[in-house]
Amino acid sequence: MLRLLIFMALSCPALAQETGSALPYSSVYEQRRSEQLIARGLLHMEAKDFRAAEKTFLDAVQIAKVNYGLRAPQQRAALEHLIEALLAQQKWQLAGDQLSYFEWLNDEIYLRDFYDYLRGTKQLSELLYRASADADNSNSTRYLILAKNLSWRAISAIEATLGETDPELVPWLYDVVLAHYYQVSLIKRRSLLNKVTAQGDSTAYHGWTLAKSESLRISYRIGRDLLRRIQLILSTSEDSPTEASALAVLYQADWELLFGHETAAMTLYGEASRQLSAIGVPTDRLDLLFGRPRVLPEPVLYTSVSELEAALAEGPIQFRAWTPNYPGAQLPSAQVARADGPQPGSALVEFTLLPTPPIALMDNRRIIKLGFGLRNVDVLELTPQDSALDDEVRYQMSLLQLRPPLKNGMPVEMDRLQLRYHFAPQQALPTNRES
Amino acid sequence: MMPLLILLGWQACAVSPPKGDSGQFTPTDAEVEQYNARVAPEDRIVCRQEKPVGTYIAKRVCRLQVDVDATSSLHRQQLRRVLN
Repeated sequence: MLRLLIFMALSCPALAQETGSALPYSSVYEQRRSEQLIARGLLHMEAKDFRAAEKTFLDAVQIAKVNYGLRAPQQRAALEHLIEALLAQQKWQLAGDQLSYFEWLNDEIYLRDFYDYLRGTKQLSELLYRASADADNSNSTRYLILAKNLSWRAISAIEATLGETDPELVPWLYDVVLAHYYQVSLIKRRSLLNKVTAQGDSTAYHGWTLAKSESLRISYRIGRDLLRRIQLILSTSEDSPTEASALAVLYQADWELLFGHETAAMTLYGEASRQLSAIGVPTDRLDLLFGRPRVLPEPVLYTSVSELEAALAEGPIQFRAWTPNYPGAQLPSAQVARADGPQPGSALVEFTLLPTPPIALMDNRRIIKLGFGLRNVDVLELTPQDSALDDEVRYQMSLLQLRPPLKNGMPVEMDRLQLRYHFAPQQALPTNRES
Repeated sequence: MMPLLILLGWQACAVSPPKGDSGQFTPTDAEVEQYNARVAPEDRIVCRQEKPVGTYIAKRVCRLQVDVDATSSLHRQQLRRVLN
């Protein structure tokens, strides 16, 4: 009798639901709850309550799994925020687990929807870059290598699906080029690319143990080859140069300059200028294009002159330092930026850029090889006002490589240039720099 | 007829010689990295310039990373044994 009563009590809500009666509550696994939870989680993130955000996003992932299936791409929105919440709390191990899960999920999507797989790969790549940028993460190098490998796998997938000369390859190839630049900036910080070991005790990850010079040479060669390939892809459909292929030559020149090959860079800058002129870009537009220096490498590969012109905004050159982990590298994109820390300071710097041999910018630190000399460096504004920051911004400026101003393919001196330097989040004042 | 048959037979046996130096048959750094990105750690390869015994001319050699590690470890052990 008691059993019967318990059964009736338990089955009543279910029966009521089946007959369509209104219930005082809806299902916890209701589809739209996932979106509501994401919105709530984002509010927690804004309020810097990362613990509550983590729990909320985790619930949203579970609901997405229940509603759409274990292999459904709909989990990715909540999963992305969950990883952000974990990274903000510096829960590296848990973040690593969720990143692995994201990768597994994305691989599952590959067989069903190729373009959705690419979208997921981009999302994952941005998360990995964010993990690699945290100055407190001792495993940051591992995430950089994982992001680079992910881009390579996307390249392999595009080659297999769309062919080896498909323009879809271009942004992914450029991602690998940038990853090599970050790797090189990492080498500036450390003397060796050491073996990288995972946090978990069961899995050991082996990175490359290479000498500085060998690692630099490999990165240079890979970047050079990939930029050549980009240029080939962009010019493959046309016999004569196009805007896109001429601009690809500009990026090749930048790469040579970044690795101190000034002569090769000048030849390529001249070639880019000639090609653009040959396809009818007027001289005044070319002068504007080559007359405004840019900090290298460009985080975006522009394939049309108008896009590049739009990026060359009036006023001071803007430079947003990404992370102390990669000195001299600018923020790759807004999606990779940290939003959980305090606003970093900034400085307005004025200087002269002139074609000179390498100079010693900071007498008390080290000689830094610059293709083009920065002279008369003057700090005009500093936020917050701090004499140590004044020294720091001068040092950081010495790490930057700018695309030189050119007239008729020849480098020219440019006076009173201004650059707004936004410090990286977590930027600490120097303690022990490599000399 | 006979000379034609001999010519055909010779062409059938001929192997076209490699163009340029043998270095071009090893994968480039970019190809190595792309390959390593999609295989298991034990299948990764590493390519580097090596000077074989008896010559100063270095050539590019590609090996499995696990083999390189195993050889290095073996050589270290042997050296330790000799020194002790």
